[in-house]
Amino acid sequence: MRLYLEIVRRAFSRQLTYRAATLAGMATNCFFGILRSYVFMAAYTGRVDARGWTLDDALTYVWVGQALIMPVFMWGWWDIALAIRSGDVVTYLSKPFDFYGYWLSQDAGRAICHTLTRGAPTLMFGLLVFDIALPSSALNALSFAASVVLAVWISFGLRFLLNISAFWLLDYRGPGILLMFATSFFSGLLVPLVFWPDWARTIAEALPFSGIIQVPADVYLGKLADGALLGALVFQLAWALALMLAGRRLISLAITRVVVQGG
Amino acid sequence: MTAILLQDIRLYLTLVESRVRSQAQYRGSFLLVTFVTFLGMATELVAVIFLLDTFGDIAGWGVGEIALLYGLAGIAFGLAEMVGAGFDMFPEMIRRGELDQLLLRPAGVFTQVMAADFQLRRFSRIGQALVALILALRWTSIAWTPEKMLYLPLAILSGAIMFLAVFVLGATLCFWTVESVEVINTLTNGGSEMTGYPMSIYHDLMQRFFTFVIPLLFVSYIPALYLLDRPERADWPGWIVLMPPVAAACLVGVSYILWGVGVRHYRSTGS
Repeated sequence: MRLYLEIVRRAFSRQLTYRAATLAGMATNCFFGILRSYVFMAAYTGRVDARGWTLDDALTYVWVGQALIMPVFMWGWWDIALAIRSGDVVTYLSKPFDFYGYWLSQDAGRAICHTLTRGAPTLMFGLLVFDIALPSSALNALSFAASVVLAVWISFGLRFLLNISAFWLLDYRGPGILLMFATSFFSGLLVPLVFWPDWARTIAEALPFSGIIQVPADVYLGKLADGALLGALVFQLAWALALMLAGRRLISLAITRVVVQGG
Repeated sequence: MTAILLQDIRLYLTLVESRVRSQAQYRGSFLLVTFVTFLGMATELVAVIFLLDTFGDIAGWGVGEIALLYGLAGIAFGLAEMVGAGFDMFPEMIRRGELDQLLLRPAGVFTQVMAADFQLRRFSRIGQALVALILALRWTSIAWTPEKMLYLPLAILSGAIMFLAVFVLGATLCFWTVESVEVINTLTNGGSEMTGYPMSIYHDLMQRFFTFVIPLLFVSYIPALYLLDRPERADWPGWIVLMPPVAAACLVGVSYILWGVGVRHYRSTGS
């Protein structure tokens, strides 16, 4: 366990060194947040609510979503796939630690850093400029924190599977691009799932992607009553575990037939 | 002048041709990536349609009108990205010291950088935006006149030139700061997202900035007002609909001059 905590710590401080990129990235997240906020402000003119959501709800949603983009690493991550392609993956596989545990710890360190340096400031910007709501209670805030942890874990599970696919596919970019777009669409980042037509919403809410943005945002907004809140967290946990099992199963399959490229 | 221009165009085409030939070697991979990108980009359009399905309209613009803005902006951005993506990856080139190689060659640096990252798969964005435009033309009832038919391609071309100029401006910044040029993403990707909606919905300061400093107002908003005969800016002078090519020419002129200053100012990173 100490080993993994040390990996988390190192990944955290490595991420912390990219200061200029952090600032620039935050500017981009904020600018897109501003654009989306104005779209909703215009859409809500002359109406008080849409599907039970007020303008304040929609704006809060926009900024929670923008703040989560980096913690859940929406735009892709290819480290393992690149290591598979270069053959370096062999060194990771032969070291005395759990392969999945190693990369999960790496990602946890990165996510903690991104939450502090990218997520929190972006949310702060939304709070100051667009006057969005804070979580309504301590329970809400705590369950939001838990939901974000699960969101990162689900997102990691998906990215891990995708990276592992490089053992079988020579070109991981096709599936990678597909995952990136699927995540930004089905997670509700582009348009909250509540505003989707019912048939599409039903499908999207069953997929793991909804656990990446929509569920944490619902929790933040306090849209879920006690029972539903628990249900939402269980939904996230179930997907996180399922993806972990699938990832671990695949990696053990891959090890039995590893043919290193370029090595 | 014309001779130099022709020579540059020929050089650009040669460079692009060689890149296309190398990408055509991996046909399966290329087709897969292009198709997947097309599919992925289509989700953006679907998201807009879902939003309009719930809200009916945004500031008086229905789904057809918004799709028109989205299509115009998307095609313009896609063309610019296709032709000049080399400027988008210019920071990388500077960091790796690759610009030095280009400077040593007996050919225009501008042209060489422009052709440095030509990717066939970028057709997918243009294709996706084209779908949006076709849907928009079906969903709206534009009173077509010969002038409007001429105007549409001209407006798209102007928009593409404006986005290309923004790419160049972003690349030019790198001559002074190698770091933090990702900010320019805000203007390129952000600009294409922004122009997918009517400019009138944004904050006053943003509208002014994108009219007088970086005139992205002319990419989609002004052309759409004209094509749809929307009177919402009746207080603006009528000649404003003719401004897109003028704005494009000014912007590309300024960016080309600044680029030249940058090239002369350039000192290699030395590594």
